[in-house]
Amino acid sequence: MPTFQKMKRALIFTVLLGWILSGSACTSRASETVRPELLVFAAASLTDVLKEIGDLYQNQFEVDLEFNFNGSGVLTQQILASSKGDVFVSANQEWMDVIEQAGRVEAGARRELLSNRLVIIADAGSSWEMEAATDLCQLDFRFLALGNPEAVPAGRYAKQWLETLSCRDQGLWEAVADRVSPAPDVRAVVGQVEAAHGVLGIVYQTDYLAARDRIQRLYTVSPDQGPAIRYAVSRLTHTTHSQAAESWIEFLFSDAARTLFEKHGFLPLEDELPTQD
Amino acid sequence: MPTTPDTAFEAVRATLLWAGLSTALVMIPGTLLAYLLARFEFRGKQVLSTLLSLPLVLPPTAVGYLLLRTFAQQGPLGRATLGIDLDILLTWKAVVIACAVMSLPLVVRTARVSFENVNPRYEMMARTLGYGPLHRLLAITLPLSTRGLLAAMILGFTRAMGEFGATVIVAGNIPGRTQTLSSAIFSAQQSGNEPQANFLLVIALGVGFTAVYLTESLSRPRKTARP
Repeated sequence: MPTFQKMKRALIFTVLLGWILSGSACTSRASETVRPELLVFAAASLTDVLKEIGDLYQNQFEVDLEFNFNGSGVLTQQILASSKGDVFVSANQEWMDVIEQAGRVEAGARRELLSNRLVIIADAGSSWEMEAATDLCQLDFRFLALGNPEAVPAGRYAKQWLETLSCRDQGLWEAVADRVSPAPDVRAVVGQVEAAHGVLGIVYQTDYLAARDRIQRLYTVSPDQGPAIRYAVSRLTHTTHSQAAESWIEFLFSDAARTLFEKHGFLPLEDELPTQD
Repeated sequence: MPTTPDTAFEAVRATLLWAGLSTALVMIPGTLLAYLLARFEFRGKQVLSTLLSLPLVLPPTAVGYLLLRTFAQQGPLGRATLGIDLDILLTWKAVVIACAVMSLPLVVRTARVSFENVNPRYEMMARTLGYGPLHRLLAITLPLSTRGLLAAMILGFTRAMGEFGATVIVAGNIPGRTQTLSSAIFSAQQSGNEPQANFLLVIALGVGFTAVYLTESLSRPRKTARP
């Protein structure tokens, strides 16, 4: 009987081990395909839309796409530390500047891909209404959640925008600063707004659209009023798949890609638009 | 891309494999260090013990950043310094290293306690019989602390299974390459893909339960007839 028990255990472990190891064999075989593999580093806010566009692209071209999604700041650190990645899509210009100064992107090679809008959100049950941005001065919210302005592009944009406005005797940013709740990323802002009463948040229009069944929009910042939100894309200089990288970037500007970007609430930029530096 | 059950299972399989490798990597040095700390007095012991516990108290992202700096091209273990490219960053090797570093403190602490629970008199007796330190460890203390070491291994393995903060920085979050169960859940939740996140969560619960249950049942003391 004990021998049978031991055998059973041994069998379970062998099967489990076999399953685990077979997976690793599969992965290594899959990477030996002839199609070039393109590794795209992209801002976390693009996760859904780039996957969809990527599926479309891989059906049409003999290229395999892999994505590494994270905050643009973390991606920048990873690119600088390793020589990995073929294409970088950054949520703002500043991180792309850092990459460019390190010589990992050719000067002038970047292209502005997308814009976005800032919106003010509240939980679905709230009765607040906003006519103008300065209504923020009167609303008795407990916290204003936004991405940490030190690190998160969305938070940085939000702060820049609030600094341009003012309540009666002081700047709007100063008026709300002690009620700001800095979050590690935009999706965390949505989470805070959704979970707690009396919390307002500033996020991208795209994040609002992704969660619109759980939160409501109080106000949309018009593009001419707020800071210029610019997602930039560029081939990295250390890539060994220059052609594939260029073709993928070109595809991001195609009509098919633009349709998908718009579906998710992004504002695709005209490629000829002069850079606003 | 973890949009299908297939790729989710792939993430689970890879996570189990990497957690296993990281445990294997950590067990031998972890056990030796634990023995060193449990049985010997030496200068700098306190410092060593503190250093070994650091990954436990540091934010995982700080450990990730430290490892990223270490293996960066210009870093102490990078291509420019070593002359060869270890090709660690953003590969599965980085996942294993991050998990190993994060689980080392748990392994060392648990193993140390189990060594300290073995009465040192046994070793002293062995010493009078001419056993050297390594022989004493292998013949006396190790067999007497098997259960504690097994517990250390379980803790190390489960810590590695759930590691996220350090991994995502040194290894990235690349589906099919460096994506673990934790980072797959993170991605699904980030992109607001609730069905996917829930699906992965159920898998995580199932795998976690099974892993701990299996190992616990293995480490259960055998019912032996008492004399």
